[in-house]
Amino acid sequence: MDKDRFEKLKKQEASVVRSLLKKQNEMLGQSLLHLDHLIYLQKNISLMSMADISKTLADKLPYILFIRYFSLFLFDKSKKVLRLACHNHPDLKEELVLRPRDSEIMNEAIARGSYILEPDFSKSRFFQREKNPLFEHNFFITIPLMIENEIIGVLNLNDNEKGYFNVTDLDFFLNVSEFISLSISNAQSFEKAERLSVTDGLTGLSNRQHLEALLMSEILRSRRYRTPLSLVMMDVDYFKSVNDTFGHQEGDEVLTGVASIIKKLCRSQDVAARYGGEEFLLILPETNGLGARTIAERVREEVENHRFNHEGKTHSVTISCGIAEINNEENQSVASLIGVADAALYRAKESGRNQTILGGVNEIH
Amino acid sequence: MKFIEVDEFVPEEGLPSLPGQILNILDELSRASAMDYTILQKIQYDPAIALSVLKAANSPLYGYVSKISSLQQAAGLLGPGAIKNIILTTPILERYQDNGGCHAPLDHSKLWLHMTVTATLASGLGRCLGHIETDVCFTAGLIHGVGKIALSAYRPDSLLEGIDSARCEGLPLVEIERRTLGFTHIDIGVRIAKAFSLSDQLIHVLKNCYAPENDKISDLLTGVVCLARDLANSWGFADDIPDGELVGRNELFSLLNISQKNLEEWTPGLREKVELVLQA
Repeated sequence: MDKDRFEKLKKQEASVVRSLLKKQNEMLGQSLLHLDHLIYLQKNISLMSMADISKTLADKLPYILFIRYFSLFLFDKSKKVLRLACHNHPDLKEELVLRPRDSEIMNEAIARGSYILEPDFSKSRFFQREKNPLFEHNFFITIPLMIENEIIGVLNLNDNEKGYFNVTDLDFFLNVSEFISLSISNAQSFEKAERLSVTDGLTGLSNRQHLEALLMSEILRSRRYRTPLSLVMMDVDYFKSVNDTFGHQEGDEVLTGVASIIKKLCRSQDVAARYGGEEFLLILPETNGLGARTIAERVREEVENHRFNHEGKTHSVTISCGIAEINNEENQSVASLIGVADAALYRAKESGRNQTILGGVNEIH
Repeated sequence: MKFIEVDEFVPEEGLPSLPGQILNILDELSRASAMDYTILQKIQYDPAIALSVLKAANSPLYGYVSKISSLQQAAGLLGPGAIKNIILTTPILERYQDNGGCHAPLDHSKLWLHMTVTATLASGLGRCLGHIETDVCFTAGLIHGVGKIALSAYRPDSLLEGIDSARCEGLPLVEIERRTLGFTHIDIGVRIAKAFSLSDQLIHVLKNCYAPENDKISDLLTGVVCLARDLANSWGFADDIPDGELVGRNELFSLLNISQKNLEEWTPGLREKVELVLQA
């Protein structure tokens, strides 16, 4: 190769390299900007409340994604509906609830579990009505929000300043949607945990879920240390007639009053819970059946002697109690212990109410 | 002569690629509405980028249970974001450095095209054979000459001297390399493939496709790549590097259990695939 030809090729390549470096620089800059936005979003939506996340997304998501409009729907799995959680469309109803089939594009994204991208939505098979005058550009992206292959919502994105999107934009959208999914899932789990956690709203006693967890750990402790454990199930006699006679508010007063008596007579290690409507459970660690009977009787007598005031008149209620105790290998699960106490309670009711019966394993049917 | 070691050819940042090639792919990435598959279409013609994609997919970071032998599978697992970063960080191959004027500069484009055509033909042959993964055939064809690429990128003078000597003495390049460097481009390719944690299947191809152990090829994949390379050379897509006498057609036919007639029947389809590559 002669020198001139070599120099010519060298110059040509230098020109290509310059263009390449310029392009690389531009794309690296964009990547860094995306990374910055991603970190900023992650910091701002690491929240424990869905309402706070929705507010943050409504304020910041368009700027983070460089898009004009978005809407985020949460999928209610039990009711199979999509609820609008947040958006920045000026005309969208705040309380919008859709069945997935009301929006074909969201329905399909949910069914496929992957994004749907329409470069020109008005020409797509999903287009049904007239064109939205808000949108200058026609691309539409629907991204299902997923956690461990479960759909938790759908994110819709449309319109941006530059008028098109490329694979880098799409990749960024998908990364952001993963962060959003994670934050939403965390907040939903936290809110659910909060709802289900520890106390019963009316009586202040432990709720059923908490009681069952505690009972499980007490059973394990009882097995490990070979200590007795008893369970008392209590039910307010003729509670329906209290509600019918005095109204539901007074019914609530009765439940609160019975709960107060139980709490007052409980020892520090005992756990009292509201098990159902007018049913209470008392876990009595290190207490055998006879000891449990003594405590249950004390509660029963105290309730019987208690006077409830209602509009200047007094009335009283009674309770029936069924007891179960861990005493052999067949009676060592949460379900079986509750089953025995329940059967004993049933017998107490059958035998005339306002009494305490110590149950046995044979009573479970 | 300065002492060279094989490890010098194992680049941490991946093998360099041709600037025009990288620019094309980056332009494609920035194009309005470009989608994942168009990126794959572009990167599948670049052995250096393909190798980096395979390296990433087989790295412990992603921790896939089995080794990934196909570029298509690797690209699918990594996703467009990771692919974009690989392309963005691919080093640029500087071809027209002063070489003292003692050799004609190496035609890298020819080398790249040879690998691409071999990959396309290997994939096509795989499809015709029917019982071998075509994506793996393609990938093996694309990277089978990775040692040559590394040598051309990092020691172009050594390669050019080797080519000149091989031509003058009528010997295959590997013989000259053994004598002058103490190792061959095959050793370089295998060393890179091992350093990049490529699958044993691909390493076996790199090890055997130029100078098979005991002059005999025993596995189908290497056979497919050798036949594809042979066809690429005979159809005018040779890399112009004297490889010497490679495995004969008849031996390849016997290994692949095909006949000259089969190959003749498949030829129009294979030529069509090559035409499509040239248009891309």
